[in-house]
Amino acid sequence: MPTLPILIILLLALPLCASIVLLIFGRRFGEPFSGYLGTGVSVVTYGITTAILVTWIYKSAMWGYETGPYIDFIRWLPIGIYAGQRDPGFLELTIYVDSLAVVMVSMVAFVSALVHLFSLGYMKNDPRYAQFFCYLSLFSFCMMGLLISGSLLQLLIFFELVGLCSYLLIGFWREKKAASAAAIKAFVMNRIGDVGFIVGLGIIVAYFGTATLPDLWLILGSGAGEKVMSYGLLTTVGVLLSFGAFGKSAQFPLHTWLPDAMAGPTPVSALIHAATMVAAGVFLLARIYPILTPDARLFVLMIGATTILIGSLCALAQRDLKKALAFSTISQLGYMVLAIGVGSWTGAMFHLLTHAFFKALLFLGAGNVIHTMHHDGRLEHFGGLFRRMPVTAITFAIGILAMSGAPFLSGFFSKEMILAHAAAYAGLAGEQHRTLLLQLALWIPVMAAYLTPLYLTRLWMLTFAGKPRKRKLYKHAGEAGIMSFPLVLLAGMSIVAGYSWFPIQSLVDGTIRETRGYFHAMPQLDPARADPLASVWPTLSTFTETTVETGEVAEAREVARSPVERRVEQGYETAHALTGWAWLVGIVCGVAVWSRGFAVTDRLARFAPFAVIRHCLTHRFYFDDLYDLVFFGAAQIATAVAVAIDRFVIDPFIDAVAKMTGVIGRVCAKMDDAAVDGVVRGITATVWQGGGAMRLTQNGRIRVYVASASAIIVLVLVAVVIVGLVR
Amino acid sequence: MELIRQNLLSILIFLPLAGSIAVALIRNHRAGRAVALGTSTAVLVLSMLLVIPALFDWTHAGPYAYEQQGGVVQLVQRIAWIPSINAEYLIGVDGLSMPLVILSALVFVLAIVAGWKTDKLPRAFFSLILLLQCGVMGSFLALDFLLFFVFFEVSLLPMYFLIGIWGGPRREYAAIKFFIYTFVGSIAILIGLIAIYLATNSLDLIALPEQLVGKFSPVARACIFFLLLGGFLVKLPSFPFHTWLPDAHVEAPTPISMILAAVLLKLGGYGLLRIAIPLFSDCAIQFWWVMAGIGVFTILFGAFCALGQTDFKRLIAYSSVSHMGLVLLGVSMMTTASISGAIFMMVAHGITSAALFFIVGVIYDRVHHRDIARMGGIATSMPMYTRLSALIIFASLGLPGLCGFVGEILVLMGTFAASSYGPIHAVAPRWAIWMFGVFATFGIVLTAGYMLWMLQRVYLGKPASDLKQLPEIDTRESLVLWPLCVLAIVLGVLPWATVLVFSGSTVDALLKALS
Repeated sequence: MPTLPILIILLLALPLCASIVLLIFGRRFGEPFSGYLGTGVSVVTYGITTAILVTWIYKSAMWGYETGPYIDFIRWLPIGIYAGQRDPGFLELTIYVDSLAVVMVSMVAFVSALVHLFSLGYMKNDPRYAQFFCYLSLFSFCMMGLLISGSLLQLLIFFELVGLCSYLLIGFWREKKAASAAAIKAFVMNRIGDVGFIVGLGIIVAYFGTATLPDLWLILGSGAGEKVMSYGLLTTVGVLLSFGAFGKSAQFPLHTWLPDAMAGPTPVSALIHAATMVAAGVFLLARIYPILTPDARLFVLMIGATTILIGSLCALAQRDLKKALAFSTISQLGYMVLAIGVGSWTGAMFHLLTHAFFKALLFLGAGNVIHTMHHDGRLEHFGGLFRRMPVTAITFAIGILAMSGAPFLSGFFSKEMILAHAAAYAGLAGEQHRTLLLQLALWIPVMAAYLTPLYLTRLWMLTFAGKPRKRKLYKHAGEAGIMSFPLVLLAGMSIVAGYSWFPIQSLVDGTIRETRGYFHAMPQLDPARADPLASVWPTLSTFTETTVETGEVAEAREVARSPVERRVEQGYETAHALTGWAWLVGIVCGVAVWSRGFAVTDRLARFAPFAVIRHCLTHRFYFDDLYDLVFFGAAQIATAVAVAIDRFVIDPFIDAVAKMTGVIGRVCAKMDDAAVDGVVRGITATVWQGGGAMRLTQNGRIRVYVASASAIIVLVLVAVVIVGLVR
Repeated sequence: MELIRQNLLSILIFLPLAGSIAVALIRNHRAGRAVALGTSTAVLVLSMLLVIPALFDWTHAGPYAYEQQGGVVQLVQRIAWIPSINAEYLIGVDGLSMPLVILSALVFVLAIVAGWKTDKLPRAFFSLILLLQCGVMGSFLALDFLLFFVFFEVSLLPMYFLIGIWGGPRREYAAIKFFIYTFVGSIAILIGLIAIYLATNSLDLIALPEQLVGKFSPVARACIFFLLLGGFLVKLPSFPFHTWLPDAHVEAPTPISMILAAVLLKLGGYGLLRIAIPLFSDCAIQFWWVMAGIGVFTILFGAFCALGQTDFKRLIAYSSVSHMGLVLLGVSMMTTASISGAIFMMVAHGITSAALFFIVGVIYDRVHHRDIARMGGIATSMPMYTRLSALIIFASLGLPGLCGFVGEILVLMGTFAASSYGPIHAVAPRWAIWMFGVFATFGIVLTAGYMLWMLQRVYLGKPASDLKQLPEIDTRESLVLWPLCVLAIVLGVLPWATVLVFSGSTVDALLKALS
C-alpha cells in the first residue's frame, strides 16, 4: 500500500517544515499570521492522521488485523555487531506503525490542533507569539516521531527531543527565573531517567546486537533470549528501561518536575504536560512490555502504586489550580503504570487515550480561567466564576465526571478495566499466599478512585461556585469563543471515547492481534512458541465479545476461557462493588466540604494533626526540599572538591616543580661559575662577542621571531627535500 | 589533475607554510590577512577533494593504497628523509585522519575570519596561525614516527607565541604552562620513539605494529606504552594533566581558543589511535582499565569543575576536558562502536567547541568581561545569536539530532558492547565494564546540568541595564557561526554519510590488528 508511507512522511514533514519556517520567518509574519500558519498546519496534520486512521481501519476490515504492522527500517548507526538479521552491524531507525501508533497519532494530532486553536486566543499580544507556535509545531513533529518508533534507539532520540520541546516551552517566559529553573529541572530529571534507559539499552545491545523492538520481542518472547541472558539480568534490564518512562511520565521518584513545569503557558501544560508527552512514558512501557519479566512488572507496579498515592494526596491540598491538576495527572499516570504492572496492557493504553481527552479539557478550562484572571492561578483568588464563564464551567464539570469514572463517560470504561485487572492480580496473589503487601495493588487504586472526584470537585467548587474572592479580577472575567470551542469538542470526546463503537477500543485491541499476526508470519519461529505475547497480553475482545453471545456459544466459550480471563471477569465484579459509586461519594463529599470556599478546611486546620497533614500535602511531602538537600548538596560538594583539587593540588604541584627546576638551574649555574668557569673563561670572551651579535636578533620584535622561526623550519624542510632528491 | 592528486597531501601540509611566509613578507596588513584567508580557504577546498568518491575509494583499496594493512591508507608518498636512521618523509591519509584533516582545514578558515579584526601585529598573528596549520596538517598526515614528532613540535611553538603575545593579562603564565606541560608530554613521546627505533630500526608507523611483536620484555613494553599514553593524555588533555587547558583558554584570544580546542586537542586522541594503541595493543588490552578509569574520571571531574566555574570561558574549557574523557573511554574499550564513537566525538567536539569559544568571544567583544554572574538576559537584545548559541549548547550536551549525541551514544553503546565483543571482554568481567559505562552515562546528566545552567545565567532572565543595547551579531560573526551550526545538524542527522563511512574501514582494520 503506497499511500501509507507517503502519509507518514507527510505527517512528520509538515510540522517540521512549519516549525522551521516559523523559526526563520516568524518575526516577519507577525502576530496573527504565524499563528494561523501553525494552526493551519496542525489541522492539516490532523487531517492526515484521519486519513491514516481511515486507511488503517479499511485495511484491517478488509484483511483483518492479522496482516500485521507496517514496518520500515533505516540503517543509521554502525556498531559493528553482526547479530541482527537485516542490516548487519547497524543500529536501526524503524518506522513501526500498528493500530496503537495509528490511534495515538490521531489523538495527539487532535489535541494538538485544538491546543493550537486555543493558543490563538491565549497567546494574543505575547511578544514571542510566533516562537510559541514554532515550538508547538516542533513538538508535534517530535511526538509523531516518537509514536511511530520501532526501535529503542529511536525512542531514546525522540524522548530527548520531546524533552527539548518541553524545556523550551516550560521556560517560554524566559524573563521569569522560576520558569527557566523549572525548565532545567524538567530536562535534568528526564535525563536522570534516560541514564537508566541508556544503560538498559547498552546491555541489550551488548547481548543481542540490536535495538529494534520487533526483533527483541521475537528473541525474548520466543524464549531464545533466556539462553543468553539470565532471568535476573533481564529483570534488571526491564527496570532500567522503565526508568526512562518514569522520568518522562513523572513517576515517583522522578515526579517532582511536573508540578514545577506548570510555569509554562497553560496550552502547553494541556498538550505536553497532561495529554501527550507525559503519557509517552507509558507508551514506552507498552512498547517494552514483552521485555519486562514478571518481577520487573512487579517493580513497575510498586512505582505506579506509590505515585498514585503521592499524586492523589498532594492534589488535595494544592493552592494553585494548575499544580493541583498536575498532581492529578501524576496520579492518573500512576494508574496507567500500575496497569502495566498488573498486566493490563489494554487497560493502560485505553486509559492513556481517554485520559488525554479529559485532561486536555480540564487544562484548557483552567487556561481559560487563568487567562481571564490575568495569569493568576491561585485558587484563593477565584470563586463564583460560573456566571461569568458558563461554557468553561460546564465542560470542566464534564471533564471531572469523566475522570472520576462516572458511568457512561469515557473514564468509567478505562478505569474500570484497570481496577478489574488490579483486582484479578490481587486475587491471584492472595490465592498463591504471596505477601499481603500485594493486596495494595488493588487497595491503593481503589482509594484513589474515591480521592479523584474529591480533589476535582474541590477545584470546581473553589473556582466556579461560591462568591468571588477577588472582586477586581472577577469584574473583567469572561470567555472568548475561540477558546471555548476546543473545550466543547474535547468534552464531546470525553463522553464518547470509551464506547466500543468508537475506534479507540477496537484499535487498541487490534494491536495485540496484529502483533500476533506478525509473529505468526515469522517463518523461522517454532510455531509452538510463536505467540510470545499470548500469556501476557489478556485481550479486550474476550470480554466485549462474550457479552453479546448467548446460549451454547457462550457456554462453549466459558469452557475455552482461560483461568486468567475468568479471574479478570471476577475482577470486574469486585471493581464494581468497590468503586461503583466512588464518583458520587467523592463529588458529594467535595461539594459538602468546599461549598463555602476554604471555610471548612480552614476551621479543620485549627486541629493540629490535620494542619500538619495539610502542610505536608501542600508542600508535596517535601520531596523537592529533600532532593535539593541531598542531590544538589552532593553535587555542590563534588564540585567544590573537584575545583579544589585543580586549584590546590595539581596546580601548586606543577608550580612547585617549575620552581624546583629553577632552583636546580641556579645551583647548577653556581657550580658552573665556581668550578668550570675558570677553565672556560678564556673561551667566554669569544662567545661574548658572538652573543652581542645574537642579541640583535633578540630585540623583542615579534616579526623577527616569527620570521626566524619560519626561516629555520623552511631551511630544515628544504634540506629534507634536497636530501630526498639527491637520493 | 593527476599531479594534484598525487601530491595533494603534501600540498595540504606545505601550502599553509608558503602562506605563512608570504604573510610575513607582505608589508600591507590588509593584503596579509587576505592572503592568510585565501591560503586557508584553498587548503579547505583542496581537503574537500578527499571526500569525492570518484577520486578516492574509501570502502575498498584505492589505486594508491598502501600495500599493507588491508589497504585503507591512501595517497601514500614515501621519500627518504634521513637515511642513516631510516627516517622517511612518509605521508598518507586514512579514515582516521581524513575527518580530522577536513575539520582542521575548516576550523582554521573560521578562526582566521574570527580573528579578522586583530590589530596587534596582525601579520605576525596570521603568519603564526598558518604555521600552526602546517604543523597540525603534518601531524595528522605523517605516517613516519619521527616526521609525526617533528610536526607535533612545529605545532607547539606557534601556539606558545600566539598565547604568549596576543593573550590576556596572565598570558605569560598560561603560555609557559602550556609549553611546559606539552613539552614534558613530548619528551615522554620522544623517549618512547627512541626506544622503539632502537629495537626495530624502523619508524614506519604502518609497519611498526608487526615489527614490534615480541621485541621488548613485558615490563619494558608497559613502560613504553605508558610513556606514549602519558604524552598523548597531556595533549588530550585528561586528568591529572589537564590544568594547562583552562588557563591557556582563558588567556588565549578567541581564534586561538577555537583552534586549540577544536584541533590541537584532537592530536591527543589521534596519537592514541594512530600510535599508542596499535603499537602496543597487548598493553592497551591489558591496561584497558587504566585508560577507561582515567576516561570516566575525567568525564565526571571535568563536568563537576565546569559546574563550579564563574568564568564563561573556563566553563567551556572544562566541558572540553569532560568531553575528551569520553573520547578516552571510547578508545580504551576497543569495539567498533566505541572507537567510531571516539572518532566521531573528536569531530563533533571540534565543531561544538570551536563554536562555543567563538560564542564566548562574541560576548567578550561586547561586554569586555566573561563573568557569568554579571551576564543575563542577552536573549532580549541578541535573539539570533541566542538561537545559534542554544543550538550549539544543545549539540554540545548531546541532544539527539545534533552532532554531540552520536559520539556520546556510540561510545556508550560501544562500552557496553565491550562486555560481549572485542578484545576487552576476554580479559575483564562484565560487571566491571558495565560500571564504567554506568558512571560515564551519569556524565550526561551533569553535562545537561552545567550547560543549561550556563544557558540560563547568560541568556535568559531580565537583562541588566548595561546588557539591554548589545548589537546583534554582524555578517562576519554569522559567517563563522552558521557553518558550524549547519554542520552540527548535518552530522547529527547523517552520522553515517558524513564521518563514519570514511572511518569505518580504518576502524575495522585497526580492530582486526588488535585481535
